[in-house]
Formats: sequence, structure tokens, C-alpha cells
Amino acid sequence: MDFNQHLSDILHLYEFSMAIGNSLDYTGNCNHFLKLILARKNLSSCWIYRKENNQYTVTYSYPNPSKKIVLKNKNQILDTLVLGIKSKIVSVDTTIQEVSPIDIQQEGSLLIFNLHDQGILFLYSAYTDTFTPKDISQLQPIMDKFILSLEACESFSKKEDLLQRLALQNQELNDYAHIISHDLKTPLRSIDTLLNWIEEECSDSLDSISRQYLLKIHHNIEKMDALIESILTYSTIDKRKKTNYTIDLNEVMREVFKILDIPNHIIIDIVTPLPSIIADTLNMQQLFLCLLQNAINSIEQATGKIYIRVIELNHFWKFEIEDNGKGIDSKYHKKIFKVFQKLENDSMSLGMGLPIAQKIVNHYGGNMSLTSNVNRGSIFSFTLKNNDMNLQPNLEYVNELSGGDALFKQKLIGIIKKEFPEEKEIFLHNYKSSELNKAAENVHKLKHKIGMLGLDDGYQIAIDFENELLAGKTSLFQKFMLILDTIDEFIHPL
Amino acid sequence: MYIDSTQINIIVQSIKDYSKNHTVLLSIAEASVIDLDLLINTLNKNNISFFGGIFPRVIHNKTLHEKGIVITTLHHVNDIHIIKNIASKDFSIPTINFKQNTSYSILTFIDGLTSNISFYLSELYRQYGTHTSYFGGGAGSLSLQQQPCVFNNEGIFMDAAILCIMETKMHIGVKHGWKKIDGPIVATKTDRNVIQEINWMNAFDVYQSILKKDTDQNINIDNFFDIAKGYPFGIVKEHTECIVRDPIATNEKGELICVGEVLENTVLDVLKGENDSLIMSAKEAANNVVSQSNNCTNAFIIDCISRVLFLEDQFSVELTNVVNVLENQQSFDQIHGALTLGEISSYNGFLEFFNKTIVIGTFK
Repeated sequence: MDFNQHLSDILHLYEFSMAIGNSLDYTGNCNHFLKLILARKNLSSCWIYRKENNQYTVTYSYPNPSKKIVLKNKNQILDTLVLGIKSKIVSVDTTIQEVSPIDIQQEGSLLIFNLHDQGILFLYSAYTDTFTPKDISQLQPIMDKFILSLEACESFSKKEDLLQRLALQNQELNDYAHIISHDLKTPLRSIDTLLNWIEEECSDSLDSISRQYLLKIHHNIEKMDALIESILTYSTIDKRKKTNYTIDLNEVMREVFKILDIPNHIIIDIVTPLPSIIADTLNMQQLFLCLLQNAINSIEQATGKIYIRVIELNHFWKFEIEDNGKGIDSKYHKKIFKVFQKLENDSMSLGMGLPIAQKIVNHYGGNMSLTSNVNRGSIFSFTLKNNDMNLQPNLEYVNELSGGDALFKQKLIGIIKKEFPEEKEIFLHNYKSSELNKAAENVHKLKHKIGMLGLDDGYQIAIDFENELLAGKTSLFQKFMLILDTIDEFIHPL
Repeated sequence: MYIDSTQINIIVQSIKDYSKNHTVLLSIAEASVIDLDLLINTLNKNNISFFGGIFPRVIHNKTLHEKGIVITTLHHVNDIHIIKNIASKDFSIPTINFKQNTSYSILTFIDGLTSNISFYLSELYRQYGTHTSYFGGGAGSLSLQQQPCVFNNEGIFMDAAILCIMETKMHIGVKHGWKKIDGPIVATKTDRNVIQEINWMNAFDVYQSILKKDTDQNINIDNFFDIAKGYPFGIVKEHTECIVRDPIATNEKGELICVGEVLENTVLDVLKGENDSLIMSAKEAANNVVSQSNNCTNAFIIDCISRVLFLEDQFSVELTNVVNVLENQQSFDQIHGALTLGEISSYNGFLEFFNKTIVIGTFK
């Protein structure tokens, strides 16, 4: 064999090797690699059998399977084919034809590779003398790499499935809370309407005791309504679709003051100007509303004072809401954050305000704590991230996928570096051409790379933006572009 | 049958008389002055089943025509489909219920100037696999201006392919005769049909340095086509001739634009054409096909237009040789063909898109 032939062989192996792992999608990965093998070796077809639950199924086939194989009682044939071997060349016989998902000629031959947990790969040639031991020895290391790439595809697919299932479950819980809320509120409104009718129709015949009873029923209906609403709020804080913008908390506070019924003897003092943060306006309103209402309720003194302070920590804002109310004994400090837990028998208190506040804070990656002295007052402290988006990409997931294989890791990074700018460009083209449905498809593809680079918040924004585009809206464009630009900067030097 | 009339009523009457209610394949030379919409409408009014393409030139026996129509009657047509939107990959290949123990062959003509031809062929093979043999080529204009060029009873289309499934066995001979002068090299960076880097260096620089060893002519952006037509790339394959890829242009970035896709990291040779070798290979392709053919009544020759541009006057020798081999072996009712922008075939292996190659199919 001459030097050129050796060189040609080596370069072919390089070509095969570089075709592996070009996609994290199982079929895409197989297409890239196996179709190349078929083309370069002039083979007719290939397929992969994989064993799960003691049963073989075809997980990949090119061309498409041409017949349905009933593999019951034939598992043993496939088991025997790869028993104790890494690879082998076989001539086609009737047994092989029986288990082949593609019609193959008897005069052909097969090169079989044991892919271990990833199954068995069959490469089929219509000729008997195509494969030689040299093919086996040259292709075996390539196949070992192919196995690793299939494992990476599997791992990626599991993560995708998990994320999809979680999204579905979140949606179901969200829907469930709304349905329950609607189903409970409907009869409540009917009762309220009927009571009003009774009051109007029988106004002359109702005595004062009956009127008091009716008033109590009205109060209880209102309480029940508020209770249902607060349960819905509590259960959907982390499931409601967030619309995060940069919001000025001073503005938020002005809205909260309009809603709150602040008694004349209580003064609320914003000691330090509040910052602007990236968050959902409604969530922030709810948070301050709950905490300030709690502070107001705690004040029994003739002059009540509530102070609101904020300081900037490393990556966080720390807020304090201090009151000079009756204070809370330390033994109740945990209890008050549990739903429906009240410290005294206040008939109009629902025991939901502080749990809602804490859940909002946790949802934004912060913590809440309480310092209190009985009869002297309390300080509720909580933190919020000074930007809600984790905009620092990382390679943790890429490292996990590559399982310590530096070459494979570089390959994954290579895919991202190659595909990301292309996908971004196509997205921008479609977006600027107002092809929003196509742009949504592009966002769908881009989000996988955003997720791979550890931008969990960015991944969520991509999901929201994709849905938004499908609905013909574009409000998240700037935020999405910020994520894309950050990734651009991150991957460029890799 | 060959018609050089441009009058629709004469053309249609000729087709009607010749076809005898069978489906006809119409190969139309691009310089023909024919109102194609009117032709299609009139053929439809006469209930004639047809399909075909517009090609740079058409072949009828030993003659190459720049104008006119070659009509090929097909006796075993099972189905004809038009596949649209190939450039956007927004298409699906129809399902066929292949009968057991029956031979099938597919004739397919695709807009040779559309993108994603490899993807189309890949999907075609994915769907039909080894149930059938495949044969065809790229239609379109030698001017390389894309325009509607494949047609059937539904109309004429651009960015599309026509698919004719026949219940008959087809024998195929494929050869090109281009010889390796350098390589192997690796197309380390490509974008579909554009080679951007070879051996991690500027593609044009590498190509130019290889050609310098063989020719005194200094290749540049202006004379690129004239020189490069004699030095195509070969995609190296095992057990068979390489697949030729024709570089037709370069740009200021030093990228090489080819007819047909070159995947990233493809191992390439640089080839050179010599008249004798090309003409001999065409004869070999004919010999290969007739050695398999038995009682075939039709021969169809798909020859690359770039072979004509390279061989110039000598192309008539290639065509005469091929037809002589076919005629000497057996009596064909029809020996027809077309010069194409790329050729398509599979022979017990992967379905490929060729350049600068001759593909000969024989069938009943």
C-alpha cells in the first residue's frame, strides 16, 4: 500500500470522526455519521437495534424500515450475534434476513458493531466482499466515540424530557388552581346574590336578628372569597408566567400606598430610596402589600411607625421593614410563615400574607428573616437579586455531557460556536422580516443552547418569548437579544 | 422520437400518435421556442400523461440537439409526483406500496440550480431505499439563471423535482474518466456547495497552488471557470470511482463555489480531464450497462453539460461511441437522452448526485 493510500485512509477516519456528535439529537447524530459511512463506503443501508426491557427495537434506520419485524422469540438471535464480541463481519443468510428491518439481498454482507448499552449497529452492503478485517480495526475506535456521542444524546434527551414534563406539570398545577378557584367562587357568588335578593324582597319582614345573621353571612362570604384568592395567589406565584422588566420600586410603593388602608396614626417612612430591579410588577406589589399590611396590623400603639430601608450587598439588595408594633415571640418565628397560621384569633386575618411574601422572595432567589422583640416591634428582612437574570453562561452542563472526554467537550463547544451564530442570524432575519412564526421556531432551537450554557433564567425567557412570538407579540425581544449577545461574547474566546 | 416543430398542434399530434396512450417523457432543449404553458394545457386537453424537463441540450440517437423535443414513451409507469419547495426543505416524499418480487425504477429530474439537492436525494433514498433503482439528472439552463424547468400534467415548476416510478428493472452504467493529479486534501470548512477552506487554509490559495504544478496558466477570479472546468474535485469513495464536484466560480474571499454539496471535512482529490480518458469512460459506462441489460427496449443517456464544454467537438465522438456500443449489443426502440446540470444514480449503494459524469440507464 502506498503512502497516499495510507494518508487517504487516515483522512477518511478523520472525516468519520468529525461527523460524530454534530447534533445532540439522537437521529440527527446518527444521520450525520452513519449516512457519511454509507456514502463513502458505498453501502446500501444501516440500522441500530437497542435492547430495553429485554426486547429489541429499531432506534435508527437508513433508509426507513421496509417491514415490521416481530422480534418475539428472536431476541436470542440478536443476543447471539454480539455475544462476547465487539464487532464482526457476517454474510447475509435467512436468519439475518428475518431480523433485518430492511429488505436485504441474500448475497450481501454485514459489518456488525456491538454498541453495548446503545445497542447493535448493522452496516449492510449488497456485495459479499465489501468488508475486511481492516475495516473493523479502523472503525472500532470511531465506533467507541460514536457510542459516547449516543450516550450524550440520551442524556440530553432525558434532560429535555424532564424539562418538558416539569413545564407540563407546572401548567397543570396552574390550571388546577384556577379551576378550583373558579369552581369554589361560582357558588359563593350565587349565595351572595341570593342573600341580596332575600334582603331586597323581604326587607319589610326581616327583624334585626335576621339582619345581623345576614350581615355575618356576608362577612363570611367576603372572607371565603379572600381566602380562595389568597390560595390561588400563593399556589401560582412560581407558576404564573412572569413578565420581567426593570421596575422602579419607588413607583411600586406608590401603587401599594394607594391600595393600603393606612390608619392616620401610622406613619410609613421610606428611609433610603428604593432601587430599580428586574422583576414582575405584580409580584413586587404583592410582596410589599403583604409585609406592610402585616406591620400595620401589628401596631397597637397610639403612634405607629414603619420604616423601609434597603442596602446593596454583593449581587443582592437587602430590604428591611421595621415596625414598632407588639412584636412576635421567637417561638412563633417559623410558624408565622406557614399557611393559615395565625398568632391570635383575628377573624378577618387569613394567615396567608407572610407565606405569600416569603414565597415571592424565594421565587426571586432571595431569603426572608425576622428579628423581633415582644412589645417593641419587628424587623422583617428579605433579599432580592440585584438582577433577576443569571446572565453568566457556564460550561457545567457541557462538562457533564462530555463526561471528562476533552475531545468530545471541544466538539460540543465547536457545535455551539458553529451553530449559535448561524441560528442567531436566521432568527434576526426572520424577526426583522416579521416572520414571527419562523422566528419562534428559531427561538425554540436557540433555547437549547441557552440551556446548555447554564442560563436557566435565559431558558425560561426563551420559552416565554417563543410563546409570545407565536401569539404575534414581541415585548421580550430586547431581553432575548441581551441573552444572545451575552452568549456571543462568552463563546467567542472559547 | 425527435420533433423540431414549434407549433403546439403539430407537437401534440405527434406525441399523441407516438405515445399510444402511454406516459411520455419530454426532454426539451432550452433554446426551443415553444409556448410551454400552452403545450401543457393542450396535452392535458388530449388526456396525455407526461412529465419532463428543460435541458441545455437533448440527445436523440447519435445527435445532439440545441432545439426541439425528444419524446420517450414509457410503458410501465406506476406513478408520477412533483416534489416542490426543495430549497426550503418543506416537502415530503410520497409513500409507495412496493409489491413483493417486483422490480422498480425511479426516474427523477430536479431543478439543477436549486439548493438542497443532496437533501432531496437523501430523503428519496430514506423513503424508498433499496426497493428501487434510481436514475436522473438536473434540469435547467446553461446560463445558470434559475427558472421553471421541470413539468408534468400539473404545470411547470422551479425549485422542484419530478418523480416517475416505473414497474420495471433498470440497469445503470456510471463513469466519468477524470484522473487524479493531486490529493488527498480535506475541505476543512464548507458551507453547503461552497468550499471555504482546504487543509485549514484559504481554499482558492490551495487550489491555485495545486494547479500551478500542472499548468502554466495562472488561475484567477476572471479566468476561473475556463481553467477550473478541467480540474474538478473528486470526493473519494471506497470500492468505486470518486464523485466529481465541479468548481465553477470563486469570489474575493477565496471561496470555491461548486455544483453540488461538499460536506465539511470531506476528503478530496484534485482531478484532471483528458479527452481520451473521458471518451473511453463513457464507452465503459455503455459496456457496463449493456452487459447487464437483457431484452431492454429503451436506453436513456444522462450526460453532464460540462463534458460537452470540456470535450467541445470531441463530444460527438463520446456520444457516437456510446450509441454504437448500445446498438451493437441489442436492438433498442429508443436511444434518447439529455445533457444535464448534475447527474443522479445509485447502483447497489448510496444514492449520489454527480458532476461531469455520464449515467446510462436501460429498461423495458
